[in-house]
Amino acid sequence: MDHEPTDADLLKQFAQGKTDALGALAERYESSLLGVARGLLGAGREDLARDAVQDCWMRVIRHAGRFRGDSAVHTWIYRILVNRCLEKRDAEGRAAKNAASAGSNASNQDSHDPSSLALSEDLGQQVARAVETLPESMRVVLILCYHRGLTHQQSAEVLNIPLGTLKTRLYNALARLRESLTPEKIP
Amino acid sequence: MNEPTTDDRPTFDDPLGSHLAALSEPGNEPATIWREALTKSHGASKPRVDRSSGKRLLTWNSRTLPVAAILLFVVSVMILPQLGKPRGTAHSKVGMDYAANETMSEKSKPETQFAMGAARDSKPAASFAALPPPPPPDPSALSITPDAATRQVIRKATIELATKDVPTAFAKTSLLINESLGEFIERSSLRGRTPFDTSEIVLRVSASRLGSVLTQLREFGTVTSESAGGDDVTDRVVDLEARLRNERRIESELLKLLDSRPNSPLEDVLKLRAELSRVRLGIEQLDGQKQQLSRAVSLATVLVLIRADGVSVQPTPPNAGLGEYFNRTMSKSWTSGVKGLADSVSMFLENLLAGLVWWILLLIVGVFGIALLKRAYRAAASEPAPRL
Repeated sequence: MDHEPTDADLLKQFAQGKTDALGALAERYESSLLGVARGLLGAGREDLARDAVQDCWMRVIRHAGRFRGDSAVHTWIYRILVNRCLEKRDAEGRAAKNAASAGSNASNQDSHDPSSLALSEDLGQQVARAVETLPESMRVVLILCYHRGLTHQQSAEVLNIPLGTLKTRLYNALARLRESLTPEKIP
Repeated sequence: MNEPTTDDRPTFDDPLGSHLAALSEPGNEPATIWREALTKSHGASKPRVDRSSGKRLLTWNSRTLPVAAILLFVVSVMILPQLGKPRGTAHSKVGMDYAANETMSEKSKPETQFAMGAARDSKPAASFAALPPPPPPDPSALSITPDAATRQVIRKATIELATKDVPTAFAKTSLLINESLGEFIERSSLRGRTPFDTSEIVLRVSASRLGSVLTQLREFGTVTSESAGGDDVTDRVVDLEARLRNERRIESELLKLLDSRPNSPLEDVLKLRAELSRVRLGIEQLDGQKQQLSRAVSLATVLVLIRADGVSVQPTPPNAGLGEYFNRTMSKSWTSGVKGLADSVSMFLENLLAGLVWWILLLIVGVFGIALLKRAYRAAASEPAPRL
């Protein structure tokens, strides 16, 4: 009976020179990683998200042989991805960030005024815009916790914070999000 | 795939939850980015781990460059100048077969050595005739400055002979000196059972006759080894001359002072005489040293070692075969190799001891550097937690 190799087995095999092992690992996680990258970098930044995932894989490739197994492989990979996404956002530059911040403030002000929301905009878009306005710490927690590939415990491990802290941040993020959205649109 | 447990999953069934989940929804596209990353990483299908250390070193260059520069500086400035020193010292000692005369072992700048080994060639190709002629033993030459063409060199030579009749060779050697030129036998001895096996004679011959004396000595037996050297004392002579001139000037000044004040108090006169006496003593000493150097320069020292034929050296047949030639060459190579080994060990020890402080410093820097590299190597794989 053939056992499916674990992530650690695949990483080890890749470190030993089996390229296909990385392919198998990518089959398991790449789409999820891409999803998280899209969530963290925001809608409409597909290229940036793909870049982040590519950088993530490059780091995995570079350090596969030195992975010590202090954490689960997928936790390690997700952590790399989160770091790469945060770097990408930082790399956009302070000017872009300020511009984004100004946009966020405007968005915040709009969101506090229910009448300012476009009636044609559906809830999904509003949620996406509201998430964009959240502080980074809340946004990352929200994206990871609502990502279908990770449990709260795993999200806490990715961020290297206690589970309680994660839940507190999640609660605060949700509260802030609810405040940002139009009351009648919140179910 | 390591499926997460569902017990602590957030709920996705409410509209907000489902919209939030949609933000990071995995797509249906096939996994291709990893392949691009692989290609971009090293342009090949093999994992990069084997070359990661090299890459790491490259990225460390900005930090390691100053350290490498400092190490290079230390090595080049503090250690490399030491390298030639022991070898020179070792080689200068090789040719010294004896230390009969104290003036012989101090310096050996113009030195030539002929290691004959077991070969018995009574007419060495490179003989002392090739040496530049020694300066004439003229004491007045001592006043010549170092810039002048003539330099003051104390010459010495050692020749080892093998002969069937040691007493006869000993007698012939004793007759080589010319007493009218001030030459003499400094020391002589005959040793061993009768007839004597070995003899040792130290000749002091005129420096100008050194070449001819050695030529005659070669005819008394088979030359088994021969060496010659010289100690350049020009600087010492010039220094002595200068000091002597200075002392004489002081002496004449004191004398003038003494003459110019005939009515001075007795105490002052006595002090002046005491000072004059001290200066004259100095003049005498310097003059004695000058005379000694002059004699040493004018008379070369020749140590003649005579051994009975067959006692320690086996004669070589006139038409030696290939085997004999091979043995002789191997013997010579062995001797040369052992000497080279001794020189190398000596050089190594001297460098080791001379630069001990720097070696320890280098060791500490090296250990520290390796520890840093290891730490960086380990840290490279551990991804830091996201800074939120």
